[in-house]
Order: sequence, then structure tokens, then C-alpha cells
Amino acid sequence: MSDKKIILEVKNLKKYFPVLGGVFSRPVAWVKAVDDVSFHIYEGETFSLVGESGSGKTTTGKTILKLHEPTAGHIIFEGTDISDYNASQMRPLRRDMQIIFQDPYGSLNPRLPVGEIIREPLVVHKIGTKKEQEERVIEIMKLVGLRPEYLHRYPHEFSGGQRQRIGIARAVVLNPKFIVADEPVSALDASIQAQVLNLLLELQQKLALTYLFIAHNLAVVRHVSDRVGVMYLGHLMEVADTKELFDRPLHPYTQALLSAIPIPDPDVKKERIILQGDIPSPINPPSGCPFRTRCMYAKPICAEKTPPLIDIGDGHYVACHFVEKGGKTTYSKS
Amino acid sequence: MEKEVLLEVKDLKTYFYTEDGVVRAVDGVSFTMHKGEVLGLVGESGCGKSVTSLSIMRLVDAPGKIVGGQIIFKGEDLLKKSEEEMRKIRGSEIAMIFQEPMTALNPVYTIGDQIMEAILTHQDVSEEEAKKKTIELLDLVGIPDPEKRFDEYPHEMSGGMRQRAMIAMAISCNPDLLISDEATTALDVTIQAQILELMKDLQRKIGMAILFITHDLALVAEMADSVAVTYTGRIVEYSDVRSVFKNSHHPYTYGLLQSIPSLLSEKTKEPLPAIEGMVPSPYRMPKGCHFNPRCPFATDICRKEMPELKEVTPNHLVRCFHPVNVKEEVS
Repeated sequence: MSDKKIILEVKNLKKYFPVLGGVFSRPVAWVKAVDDVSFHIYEGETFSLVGESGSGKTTTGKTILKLHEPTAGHIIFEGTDISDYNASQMRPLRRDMQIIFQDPYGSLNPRLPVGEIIREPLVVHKIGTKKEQEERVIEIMKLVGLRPEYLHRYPHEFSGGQRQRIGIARAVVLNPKFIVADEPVSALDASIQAQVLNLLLELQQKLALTYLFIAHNLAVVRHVSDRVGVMYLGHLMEVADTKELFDRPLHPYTQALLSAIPIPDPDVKKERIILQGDIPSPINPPSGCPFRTRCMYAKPICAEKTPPLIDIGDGHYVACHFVEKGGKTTYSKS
Repeated sequence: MEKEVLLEVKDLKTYFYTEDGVVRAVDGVSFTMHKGEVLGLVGESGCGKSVTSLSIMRLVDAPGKIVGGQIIFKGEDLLKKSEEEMRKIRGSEIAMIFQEPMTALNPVYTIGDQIMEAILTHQDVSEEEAKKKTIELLDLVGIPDPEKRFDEYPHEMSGGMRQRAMIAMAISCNPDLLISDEATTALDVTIQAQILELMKDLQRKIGMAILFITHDLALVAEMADSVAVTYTGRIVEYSDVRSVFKNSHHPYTYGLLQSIPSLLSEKTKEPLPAIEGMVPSPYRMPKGCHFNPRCPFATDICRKEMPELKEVTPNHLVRCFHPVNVKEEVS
């Protein structure tokens, strides 16, 4: 365990977005998209952030890459605090930190042929001669399973799965160390999802990549991840090794979330925890524990104090007043 | 005991006449639904599952056209009905819910007014009774504070609440058949669990049949009594839910089930047995079986002829020359 090297550390990260209103378009409220989140990612692993809409998982991923300015907190990449870096300071780091989007179509320039789209990062970072760049593009296209003869085709001529391959090619062409994969397969058909997941796993091994994998499909997350963090309303509720999290979820929200996942087997009848109510608005989140309004174990203390994310042992972290060190749970139906 | 047949779709063909050619979105689809049955119609994009449901409702717009087949609902062919007669059936005997509730809800009327209107259109009741029934329905679908919510507009509600309101409207006239077209796809998983629970509960209470259309095999396993797997406008496998999932005979169904990551699988971080290639373009359908370019078992005959949907084991229909997983019958 101790020989694992941390590549990225996030400390007390906050990202608030203003809600503008009034005559002078001043902030009248704040959306607390990410509210005091801390975790670390080891080199070469896949760390996943899961959560429902509004949980802040995508905002966390984008803020780490400085695609959003953090409101507070620290982002430490390979030992360097980059939270205050400006665009020009970030530029050399962009070679090492890349992103794959959910909707590859929205992120690919429709007027450029595929070869140019993949070559663009090499041009921006002034890497190699034009001929070397073109060779690299062919090499990468082969690597991600795109036929090199498609070099001159445009994005609209490709299927969803192939477009995601183009997005992946563009992300890996600079040979990065760290990739944020934001819902990379959720827009794809079932038979194509497996192909793209296999490609991501293969590239991770070949190129020694570290992934921050953001997804809402927990079956996919369980398949690809080494460790998983569960988010709810901008907070991390639980972090653990994948097997530990799925076998022994301790946070009441994680338990409900896992029990809600449908299983493709008609013989499996699940004991389902049906949560009452909706996810509260991140503009006006509940006091104390953000989950308390839907938690069947909530007690007065949950409205008063936000439970800290504590290490209960073996890298399993839980933010609940009723989970103790060692994993003993003291919650009871209220 | 034989259950009463509610809906029989026979050799339905719905084609789209586009500038680039004819798209055979639904090409010879047949299935039977009994009273109170949940049939899962499952497939990937372009398999014709949504066009099938729109055809049953007779809501296919140009350039689409129903060009053949029969849709026998309670003994009568819906394709022979006038537009006026169809309007009476829609919403009262057959209701439909969608992925995006805003396609069914009118943004300028309150939720309560819309449901009331549906009741007043199809039922002979006073306004007062309709309002009372509306509030009961909102309560039934789990909308808190139904009297207050009656006066809310759709945009004031969350996605899950809108979905509930749409379901309340759909069941307001006690339909015999509810068509659910990806109705939980856009919802978060904990909200999806709530809505599925609600649908199961209502189905038990009201006894309506549900045509459950989805791309998600896991949802089908959970909801359906029987399953029809569709691919490029045709049913390729059709049986009861257990047979389809436990003894899939079509290489496509079998391959899909193998390729989706499951919470039960022990193998993680290993390559998934993916199906090669992709769904063919509707303008360039392969000759023979449409699945043959992606099928590991394809032979010459698969590249020449389209197989028939036929019974491979009792009550288990498969459209394949080389069905998989078929145990030799010992006589």
C-alpha cells in the first residue's frame, strides 16, 4: 500500500457558481456545486466519482483541470499546487492532464477532418514537424481502433462509438499521464459501451494512464474502477476500494444508491431501499448532513452538524455521524 | 388457463420515405399481449421500438407511414379506425408515457387542469368530481401535497415529480394498456427506482397491461413478464422473461447480456466480451440476416437469407439459423 504514489490530491475543494439577479446582475445566491471535497488519486489507478445529477461530480472533474476556477481549496498535481495557476501557467500542464467528454459530437469541431482534430493538440503544443505529427496521428488512430483511411472524413460521418474513439484519440495524442473521463460511455448503445470500455482499459495499461472516471452507471463503475467516491449534493459521502464499497457500503446513501440499481437477471429479487423525496437544490442545501432530508436514520444532530469524512480503516472513508472507526454503525430508524 | 388477449400486433410494417431512401423502421413485427401482462420491448437505437409504439397509437407522422399489418386491440383492428375513433381510444383505453414528460405536459396549464381536462374529455363526470379524482390521482402517484400541487405548472416541478404527474394523467381514465417509452431513462437511479415501484404498484392495483419499451436490459429483467428483443426493425427473440435472460438463443441477445457490466460479475478490470461492429445504417442493410456482419456464428446462409422468427424451444421464438444455447432434446 505504502509504495503507491499519489498523482493528484484534492484538498477542501469548493466551487460555487453565482446565481445572478436583480437590475445589476449581482449574485443573489450561490450554487454550491462542490462543497469542501478532499480525496487523492494514486498513479496508474482508476478513481471513480459517482453520484446523481447535481452531485457535483462533473464540476469536480472540470475544476481539477482548471476548466473552472476553484472557489477555495487546493489541487495538487504531482506535488505542485496548481489551484492558483493562470491559463498560461496551465498550458504546459495540459500535455499531462486531458479530458474525455460524454458527448463527443459536441466537443469535436464539425468543420475539421478527423486527422486535423486529432493533430490539433500537437500543433498547439508545437510538438514535432508536420510530418512527425501526421505519423503520430496515424499511430494514434490505429491505437484507438479507427481505420487510418478515415483520416480525411468529418465527424458527422462517424457513428457515436467511433466519435467517442476520436475524442479518446485527441485526449491521448499528447501522451498524458492523467485523464478525466466524464461519462464517456453513457451516450452509447449497449453493444458499443463494452467496446469503448475495453479500449479505455487497454489504453490505461499500454500508456500507464491514471483515470478520474465520472459516471452515474454503477455497474460500469464497478467494472472499471480501483477505488470509488460517492458524491451527493457537492459532498463526498463515502470513499473506498471498489470491492469494499460494493460489498460493504456503510453510508445510508450509498446503501440506497446501490440497492436502486436494476440487475439484468430476472431471478435476482433485490431488497430495495426506496428513498423518499427528491434531491434538494444545491442553491439551498439542507443544513448539516446534505442527505438528512431523505435519510431514514436522520436524527437531530444531522441537521446541526455536517459529518466529516473520516477514515474508518483501510482507506475506507465515510461521512456519517453514525459510522465509527472500524466500521461499526450505530444508526437506527428514526 | 388461457388469459384474455388484449393486443395482437400482426406483421406490422412502418416505413419512412426519406429523400435518401426508404427506411424500414418496423418491418414485420408481430406480438401478442394479454390482459395485465407486462411486455418488455428492448433494443438499441434504430431497432424500431419507439416507432412500434407510435404505430399502435396511430401517431406516425410523414414521412413515416404504416404500410402493412394489423393492430388488433380488444378484437378490433386499430388500423381500420377513423381518426375520430382513434382519438377516443388514445388516452382512455391506451395511454402513453415518454422519456421527457414535457412532451406530454403543456407548459402553460397547471398540472391539475391538464389531468382534469383528460378526465372530462373521456369520462362523463362533473367538474367537481373530476377535480376530486385528479387530487386522488396525484396522491396515488405519490405527489406530496396534492391539493397544493394541483395549481403548480410543470416547470415548477422536479423531473421525478413531472414523470409522476404524466403517469397520473396517463392512468386517469383507467387504460387497459399503458405504453411506457423509455419513461425512466432520463431519471436518476434512486428516482427511477421510485417510478418503477410506482408503475408495478399501479399495474397490480389497476390491472393494466404495460408495453415497456427500453434500451436497458436490466429494467426489462425487473419489470417484464415477457420480452421481445428487437434489432433493425424486427423481433429477433421473443419469450417469457426467464427464458430470454437465462437461455438466450439469439447470438445478439446472448452477446448483449455477456457484454454489459453487471453488479454480479466477478471479473472486473478485464475486457468485456463485446459485440463487434455496430448497428448497420438503415440505408445500407446487409443482405440476409441483419446481424450477420457482427455475428460470430454467421455462415453462408446467414449472408443470403433472412431467417424466420420461429419456435426453437417451446414458447421461445428466435430469428436465427444457428441459435445458441439449445440443448439437445433427449427423447
